[in-house]
Amino acid sequence: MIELIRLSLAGLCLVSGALFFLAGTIGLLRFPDVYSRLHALTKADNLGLGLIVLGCILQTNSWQATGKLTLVWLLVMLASTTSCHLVAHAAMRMHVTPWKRPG
Amino acid sequence: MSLYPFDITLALILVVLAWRILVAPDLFQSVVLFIVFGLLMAIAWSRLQAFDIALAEAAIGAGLTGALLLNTLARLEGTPATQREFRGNAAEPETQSVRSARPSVGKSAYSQAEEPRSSSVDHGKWSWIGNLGWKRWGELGLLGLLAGVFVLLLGRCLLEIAPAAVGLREEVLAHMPKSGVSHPITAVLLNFRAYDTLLEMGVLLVAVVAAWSLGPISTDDPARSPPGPVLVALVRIFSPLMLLVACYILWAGTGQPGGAFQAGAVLSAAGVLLVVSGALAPPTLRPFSQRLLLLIGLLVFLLISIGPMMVGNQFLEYPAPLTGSLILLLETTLMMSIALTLLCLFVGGQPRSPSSPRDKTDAPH
Repeated sequence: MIELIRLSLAGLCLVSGALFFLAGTIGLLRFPDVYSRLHALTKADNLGLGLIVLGCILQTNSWQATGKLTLVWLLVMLASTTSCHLVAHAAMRMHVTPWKRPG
Repeated sequence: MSLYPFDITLALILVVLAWRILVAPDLFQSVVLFIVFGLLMAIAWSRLQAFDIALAEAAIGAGLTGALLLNTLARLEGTPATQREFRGNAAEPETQSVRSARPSVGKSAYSQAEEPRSSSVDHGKWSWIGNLGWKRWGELGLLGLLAGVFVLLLGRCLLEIAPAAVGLREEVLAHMPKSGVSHPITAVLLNFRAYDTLLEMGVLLVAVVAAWSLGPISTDDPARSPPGPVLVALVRIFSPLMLLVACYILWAGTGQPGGAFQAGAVLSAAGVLLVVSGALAPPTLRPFSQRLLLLIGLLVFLLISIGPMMVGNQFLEYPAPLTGSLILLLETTLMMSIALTLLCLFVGGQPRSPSSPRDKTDAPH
């Protein structure tokens, strides 16, 4: 019984993580300027990856795998926030103006 | 559960991605897609159970080569090399307007020759099909014929391969106890076929010498701003971790996928981070210590391969009780050399600031 709960919870986490990634990809393709696209991408990196990592943690039986997965998530968050900051900074320096809704 | 749909989708994505890399109108798009291609190739190698190659592809193919290409692209910024001529003779309407907006000094001779004809040429999206000349169609037809023949021959060969490939796997596994390591790939790379690895190290050294002999690279780039606090903080957290991961991959290479090349790639990525964030000056290869570090892999390899000949062994025949420790020593020095080699390839040339006068005699450091 508890196995079923555990596996279905893991599946739910994985699917919602995938949904976040899908949302991030759609945002990357459809948003009007750099800043909003970065916003969409970092959503995928933080929450999407976090949910997928949670789904994997629920399926594994060892503490080492749990520790490794959490470390992977933290490092990816660090790297993605830094690159998001750098890209936004470079866009500001190139005088890319944020998109405003017309009218 | 069969993973066939995943494999087929992956293969299709790889082919489509390769096509997109080649037809992307902008070199920046090509480079970014190339990095993605490297990542997907690493996944493909993992699906083939070749984890060593997957690690190497992810670290070197996607990571370091991507950084190299982006660095090169940054130095090419603004030159006509970054805007590709789209197709055949006619240009697309968007690039046509962009080209007319740019100053004429950036135009190539080819596009200048086409300028007077452009008014009579159809500018629709698929009009390039009708605008190709007969010669171009002939070339495309010949290429298509050759490609078709090649695909047919390849298919014929694939159909004739036996399901269980006849290889040297049994031989390698039979001789594993004598190799000094417990991972068959490391045994093959550093013991049974160590000659190939020796020559590869020579090739890497020649690559660095060739790349650096093309001239110095200026370090004063006015477009580049000093690294902000975010990058410095990231580097402060990441570099010890990357050093740890590199040493772990090196150590684990004796029994699991890993080894000197992957560890050297991770270490060089750490070096690239440090150089880009300004924490480490780019290597000038003038101090003796840097040159020694560059050469030590090849030197130790040569010593280990020729040394045993003094005591009566063959070339590259490691003395029997020492194989394990010799391989570990070899891998460590190889890792250091590979790391510095890849970092020097990233830097691209001897760093020289253009404000300082070029002096003929270099004072030795």
